[in-house]
Amino acid sequence: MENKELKENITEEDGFRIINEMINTAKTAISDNSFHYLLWGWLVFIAAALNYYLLVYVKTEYQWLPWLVLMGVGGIIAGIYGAVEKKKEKHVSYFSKFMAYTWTAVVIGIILMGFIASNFGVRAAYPALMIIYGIGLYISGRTFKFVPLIIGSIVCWICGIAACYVTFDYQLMLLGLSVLIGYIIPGYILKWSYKHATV
Amino acid sequence: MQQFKELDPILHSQLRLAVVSLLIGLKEAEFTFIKEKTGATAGNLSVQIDKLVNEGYICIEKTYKGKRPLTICRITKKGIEQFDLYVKALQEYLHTNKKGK
Repeated sequence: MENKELKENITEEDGFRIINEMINTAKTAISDNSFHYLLWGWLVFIAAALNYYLLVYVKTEYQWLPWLVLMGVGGIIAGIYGAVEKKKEKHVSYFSKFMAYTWTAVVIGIILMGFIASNFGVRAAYPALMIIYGIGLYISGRTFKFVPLIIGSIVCWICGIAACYVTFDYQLMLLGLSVLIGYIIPGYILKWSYKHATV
Repeated sequence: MQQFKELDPILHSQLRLAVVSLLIGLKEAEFTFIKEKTGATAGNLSVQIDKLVNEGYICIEKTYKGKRPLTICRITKKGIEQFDLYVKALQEYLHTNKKGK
């Protein structure tokens, strides 16, 4: 609150001002969550690029190896970062809980994609993967009124549809494009906005 | 300045109203977070939080974060209802005041 002198008797106008000020404070007390967008954006982008390189140029049967290594590394880093951030957190907003539930559902959906991949082939799973990514981005973008995430979600959906009509090597390119526009670019914009909002 | 007698005296105080307004938008908040956002002293904030707890507007949970004692505050159902009534009373005041002009 701007006024540090705390009065017992206030006017009705003071009441309105305090309510507005505090509700806005709670709204803007959103932590910088660009870390997760950048971490997963870059890991998926690198894994897709390596997968493409191993598939097209090296022609090895171990082309899936980057996914196993990078997603495992990502899980460990995200887990440690999440635990450290939770210790620092001084409040829990309904938004942050809602987002945690949303992204848990997205991650479960992605893991369950493994069943589609094992039954119908990896090529069948990738379009659904991009569509699920897009859902998480769309909910986040609409909740925080953050346009780059909404644009990213639409790009993910378009890439998901396009991926139904191309071969696996092109699907990898589409996946790279979708995470670049859906995660990496919004992640940097988010990081920049948060940094400038708190200076 | 005209004062409204029917306004809830528990909420019609700068710091208590600030605490409840802050908690209404959050699931929970630590004492230090509320202190930082309201700009109040620890002593004054403790007294006002106790009043709100005694009236049943908020509830507190005393726990530990590592070895450090931690107080977590949450708004109660009664707190939400009373805040809602307070806002309605303020709106009524504003409406009456506008008509009077």
